Amino acid sequence: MSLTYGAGGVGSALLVVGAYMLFTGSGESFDVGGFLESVSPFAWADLGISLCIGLSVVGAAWGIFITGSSILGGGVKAPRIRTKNLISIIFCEVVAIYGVIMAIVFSSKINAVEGAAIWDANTYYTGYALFWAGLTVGMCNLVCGVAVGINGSGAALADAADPSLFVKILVIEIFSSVLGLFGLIIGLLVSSKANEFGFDS
Amino acid sequence: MATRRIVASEKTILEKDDHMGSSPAASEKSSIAPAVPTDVILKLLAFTFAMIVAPIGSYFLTVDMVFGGNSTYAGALAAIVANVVLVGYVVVAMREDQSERQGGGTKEGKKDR
Repeated sequence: MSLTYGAGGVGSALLVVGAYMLFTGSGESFDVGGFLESVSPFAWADLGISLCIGLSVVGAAWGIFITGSSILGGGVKAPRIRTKNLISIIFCEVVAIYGVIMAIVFSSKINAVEGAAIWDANTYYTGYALFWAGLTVGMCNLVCGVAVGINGSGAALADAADPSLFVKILVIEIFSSVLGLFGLIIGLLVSSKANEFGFDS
Repeated sequence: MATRRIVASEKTILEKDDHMGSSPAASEKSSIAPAVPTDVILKLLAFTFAMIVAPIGSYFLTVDMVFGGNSTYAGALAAIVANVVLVGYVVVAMREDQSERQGGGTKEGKKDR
C-alpha cells in the first residue's frame, strides 16, 4: 500500500515537471537519456562498488543477527550447541567476504582519467558494467545472507531439541550459501569484460 | 481472612540473614572455570582471523605475482580460499562434537545436563 502511494507521488511529480517543461517550450530538455549520459562514469562505477560492499554487509549482518539471537536463546537450555552452530555464523560471514572481494576487484578497474577520455565509449561501458555488476552482487548477497541466517536460526533451535537434525539442516544451509556464489560468478564475468578506466584500445 | 498466612511460624528477613546470607548461592563455592573451554575460543578466533586475512591476502598476493594483473582470476581464487576456510571450520567443529559425545563426558558433565 505504501509502495502504491510512493509510486503515485513520484509519478505525478514527474508528470507535473514534464508537462510544465513541455508547455513552456523546453520539452526537449526533459530527457532521460541525456540525464544518463551527463552523469559521470566515475559516479556509476563508485555507486556500483559502494552498493556491492554495502548490500553484502547488510545481508551478512542481518543473517548473523537472526542466527546469533537463536543460538543464544537455544544455548541457554542446551549449552552443547556452541561450537557446531557457529558454523552458521561463519556461513554468514562468507557472504560479507564475497562483497569485499568483489569491491576490491571492481575498484582495481578505476584509475584517474583526465580530458576527453572521461567521456569516451570505453569509460562509459566500464562505468555501467561496474554499476550493474555491483548491484547484482550486492542484491544476491543481501538475499543470500538473509536465507543463510534464517536457516542457521532453524539449525540452532533444531539442534538444541534433537542433535541428529543438525547435519540435515546444514545441508540446506550449504545450498542457500551457494546462492551468493552465483552472484559473485556473474559479477566477475560482467566486470571482466570491462576495461579499466583510461585503457587505450 | 480465612486464608491468612501464619506469620508467627515464618522466619523474618533478619533471622534468615543470620545463617544464610542475602543470597543462598553466595555461601557455596562458586565455579570460576570458564563456560567455554579455551581451545574452543582459540579455534574460533583463529578461524575468524583466517576468514578475514586469507581471501584478501591471497587476492593481493596472486594478482600481480601469479595472474599478471588479471583481477578476475585473483578474485575467483579469493572466493575459493574463503570457501576452503569455511569447509575447514565445518570439519573441525564436527570432529570436536564427535569427540565430545564419545569421551568428554567426565570433564564437562555438569554443563552437558
